[in-house]
Amino acid sequence: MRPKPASNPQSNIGRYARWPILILLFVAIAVYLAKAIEPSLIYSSLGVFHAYPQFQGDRESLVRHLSIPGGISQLLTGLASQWYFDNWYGGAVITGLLAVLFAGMYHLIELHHGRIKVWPATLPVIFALFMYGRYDHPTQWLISLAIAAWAAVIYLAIPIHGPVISAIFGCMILGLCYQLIGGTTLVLAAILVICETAIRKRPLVAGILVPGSICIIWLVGTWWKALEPLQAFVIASPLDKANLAWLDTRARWLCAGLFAAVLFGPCIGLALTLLSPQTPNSGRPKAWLQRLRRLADVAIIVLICLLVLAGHQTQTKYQLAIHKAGMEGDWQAVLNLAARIKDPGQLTPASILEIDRALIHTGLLGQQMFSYPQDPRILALFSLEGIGQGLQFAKRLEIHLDLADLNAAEQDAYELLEVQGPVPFVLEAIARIHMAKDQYEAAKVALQNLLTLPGARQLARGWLARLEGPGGLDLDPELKRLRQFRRLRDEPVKDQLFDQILLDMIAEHPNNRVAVDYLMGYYLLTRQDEKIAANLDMLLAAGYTFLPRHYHQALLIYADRTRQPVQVRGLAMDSSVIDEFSRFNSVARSVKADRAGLARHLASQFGDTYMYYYLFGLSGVR
Amino acid sequence: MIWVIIVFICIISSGCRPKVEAILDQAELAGQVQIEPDYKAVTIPSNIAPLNFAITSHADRYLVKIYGQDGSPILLYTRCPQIRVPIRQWQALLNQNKAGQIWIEVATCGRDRRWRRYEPFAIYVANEPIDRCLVYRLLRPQYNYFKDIGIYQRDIQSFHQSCILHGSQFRDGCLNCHTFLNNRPEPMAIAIRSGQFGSSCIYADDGQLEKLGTRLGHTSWHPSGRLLAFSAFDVRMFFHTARPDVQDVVEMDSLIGYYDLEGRKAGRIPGLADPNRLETQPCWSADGRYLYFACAPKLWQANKQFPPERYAELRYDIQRISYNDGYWGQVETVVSSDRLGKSCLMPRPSPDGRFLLFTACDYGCFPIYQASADLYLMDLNTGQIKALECNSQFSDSWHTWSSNGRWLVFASKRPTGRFTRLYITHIDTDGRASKAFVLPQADPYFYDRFLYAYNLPELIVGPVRYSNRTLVRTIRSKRAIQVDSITSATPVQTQYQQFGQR
Repeated sequence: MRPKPASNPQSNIGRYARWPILILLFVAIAVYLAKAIEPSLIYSSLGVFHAYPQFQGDRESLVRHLSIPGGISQLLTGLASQWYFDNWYGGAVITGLLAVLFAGMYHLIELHHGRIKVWPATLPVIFALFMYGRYDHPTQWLISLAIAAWAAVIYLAIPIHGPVISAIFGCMILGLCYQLIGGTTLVLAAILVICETAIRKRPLVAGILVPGSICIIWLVGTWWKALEPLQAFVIASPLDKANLAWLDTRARWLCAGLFAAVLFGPCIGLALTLLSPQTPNSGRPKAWLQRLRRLADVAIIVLICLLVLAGHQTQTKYQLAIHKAGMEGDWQAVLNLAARIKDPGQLTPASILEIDRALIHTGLLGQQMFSYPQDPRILALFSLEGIGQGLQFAKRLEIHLDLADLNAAEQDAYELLEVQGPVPFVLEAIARIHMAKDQYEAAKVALQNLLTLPGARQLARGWLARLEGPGGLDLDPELKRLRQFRRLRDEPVKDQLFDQILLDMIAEHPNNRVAVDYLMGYYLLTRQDEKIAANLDMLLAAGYTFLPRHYHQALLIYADRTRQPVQVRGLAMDSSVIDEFSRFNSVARSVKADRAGLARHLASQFGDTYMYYYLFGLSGVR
Repeated sequence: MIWVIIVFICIISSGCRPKVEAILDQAELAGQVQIEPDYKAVTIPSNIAPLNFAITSHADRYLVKIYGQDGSPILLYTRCPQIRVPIRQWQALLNQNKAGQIWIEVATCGRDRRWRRYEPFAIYVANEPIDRCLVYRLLRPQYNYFKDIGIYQRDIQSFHQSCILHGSQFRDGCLNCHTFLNNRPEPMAIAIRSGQFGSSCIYADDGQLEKLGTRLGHTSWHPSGRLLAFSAFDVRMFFHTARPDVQDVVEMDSLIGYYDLEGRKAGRIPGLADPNRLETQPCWSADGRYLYFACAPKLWQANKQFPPERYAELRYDIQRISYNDGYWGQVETVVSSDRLGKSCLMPRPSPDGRFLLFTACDYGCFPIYQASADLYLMDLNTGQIKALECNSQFSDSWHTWSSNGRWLVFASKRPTGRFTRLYITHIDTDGRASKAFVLPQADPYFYDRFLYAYNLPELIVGPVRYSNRTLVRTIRSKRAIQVDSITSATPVQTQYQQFGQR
């Protein structure tokens, strides 16, 4: 009979104190996620900056997900992500996932006879927090790894004697997991093999499990599910092409770290146990050793907290917040967020576009456009190359809705539906477009889908109620605007430049001020000052009573360049713009420096002027 | 003890159920009941799945009685407005009331606990059954990236749907025309386009799957099973600025050819590869004596401008060419576009050879994108043409006959104008169409949130036996029957394939 270890009151206290501390830790994580990360930002970026994890609770969707390896993890990801619409719900869901993964790892290390369990089990949580701090949306990997960890726990916890039966049981678990989590099953297989080899000392079982796992994936993936060989091994994992495309280099490394933390977590736990100084068997543990351990624990906690906080990318957060506010049409919030970005040079084209849209909708484009970095391609239907389909179509959709070009917007929305699936904002756009086109039955299809999503349910209910009631839709100002400025003349869409499309629209609705601002913005960005001079009358028709600063500056450039006077009828002008233009010219002529030096010199004083952009092709507030 | 409790609960629960007959007798009449989908006064085949429906008026409890002249009635009591009819009872009732009618009576009970009875509505049960399986393509309303396109088969007698082939299985490939011979599941042909595995046509005959190393467009089997007529085309999509249907399609050029399965060679059909004309959408008559097709004069020079300036003036005639054991006869016009003032497309002769069903729309060759598209029936004996009674204000097209010639399935954009659904209608011996009804689903609200579009329905008498993985392997296989391109004055086949790629 084994002697009972002598009870150690201090270690008992430590053991009992551990769980409240861990609960506190996870509560802190939830608060951090809800307040700092803000999962609603991830939610609004789904389908644009991240793949949209589809979730629909109907039978067809369930059958479709069940029929592909890893489909369940995708379905669960969709289910979890639907709750990110609210920061607190989202924080709670992510924390729950982290806790499940942590608990799985904890038990796994325990089953590997590791005494130091908490730190190795925390490693994947830290990697996940890093990824959330970068807004990488690793939810699917968390779910897959949590399932893998718990599957390993089940395998190790059930005592099965005999190597062959053990191996058969292991293969069964691997087969089941392959259906649940796809290619991540290989991590589970590796954990089981390491455990059987290093801990249980059963190389025969490990020897069966290695070819067994490969055979199972091969059989289920390529033979049963008719996947291509490589696809069978990576499906629903980060290496899957569909997922890999959404991860940048750092995200890929962090993902690798996350997977490695789960895979080698038990080994790390064991290694730490072996390396840790053993307390003497007799007598109380040395006080200095305990103090040292506690100090080390506190230091590690502080270090981790600092690392996680340092890993939080506030710039990315602001840009996602700009995107979210732009999607919601909260233009003042867009401009406020843009003002909070310390280095405007870090603004992405997507953010700049949102800022320009905010300026257009608040009527400030002509005044403040060059107070932000600009790119000549920004307003040209977001025709940047090398950006994802989701982002491109989403931004084009926004522009077309701004312009009330309903058919073009419909095309973008349905392209998004095809490439990203029923993303909430896409469904909302589809509903709005069909309502503006008086196609109420088609709008209802989109709204009925929105009803199934917790984040959009209230909105859908409101719209459906308005659809049922007489004249309910007339109360919506945005819908009214879309109907007022919708295209009237039908013709095939030609391969035209953006300005020609806008001119066609303005010819149909001269009072479409948004279209006029888009046109003027486009001419400014493409440095076509002569076009601004030629189309000045449009400003009057659009309701302008004064000449905005940048348009004025463009006219001054045109007059200066061509030595031709410009007739400005009916628009009030600000004389300070002329003074600024004169000062710019005199300073530019007086500075004896190369082009780069001149740009630096002028940027401080005239960085936000159109003259600067015209001269150097970029805004001085980079 | 447990059994006693269970029996007690059963007795109590059955005791709580209302007495249907008594309620229906005593309830006050409240006019017409509103249901969705609209199955009132439709004619249905005796072997169709239950027409599950939802009652649109709000109530706390619902009572439904489905009865006919013969057979025991089906009584349903529910607290939710979705009425799901038990399949076995439904089938028994239909079988006992063939060539008759069944009635559906609804009563609702609101918060005031008073039952209201609605006037019963009739459903006519035809004597002729419909073919058991329906094969169709499911895709998003816009599908330029081929992200989610699949061919599915649905057992019409139940709600079971299975995937025959999905584009994601060969790297987001596109699947288009699937064709069967005389409503039999075999032989069949499926055309595919794939960036990775090339464009090809998979055909199955006698348990053998073969891959043709070229894409065939619209295909039609000769009744002998030895010949496959196909159209090759340069089809391009464009978009409209203001009209309700955003998308539109033009076939810039097209021709009709054939593939001889025994000789393994492709060839031109004399007169159907005219460089000055557009020939497309071939379909064999049931006796194999005629090949029907749509044909229009080409109103533009080769590929100079897209879309061509006169695309909206393009109107197709329906023509046919006779065929007799390898010999092609003369082309004759069956329906001139001038007669209807519309473009006549997709000719489908009935299995008994009496009728010719086709679609007519304002212009062009792609009726699915035109709200003006309607189904027309021509009596081949008298030459009379009439619009089918089941047409709607939305596009009605992509029609298919059942093997007994009494049922039609077609794709219609009603009621949304955007999402295509499949509708079934009965054609009587005089060519009259009954009120069309949407393909029933287990969930009555299914179509309310279904974001896919159906097209290309084909009725077949039994399910396709080839497994999904067998078809996928054939597509991925490098082994393919090489077919010489059809050279003629019109562009060659390979050019068409390139044009077709998006």
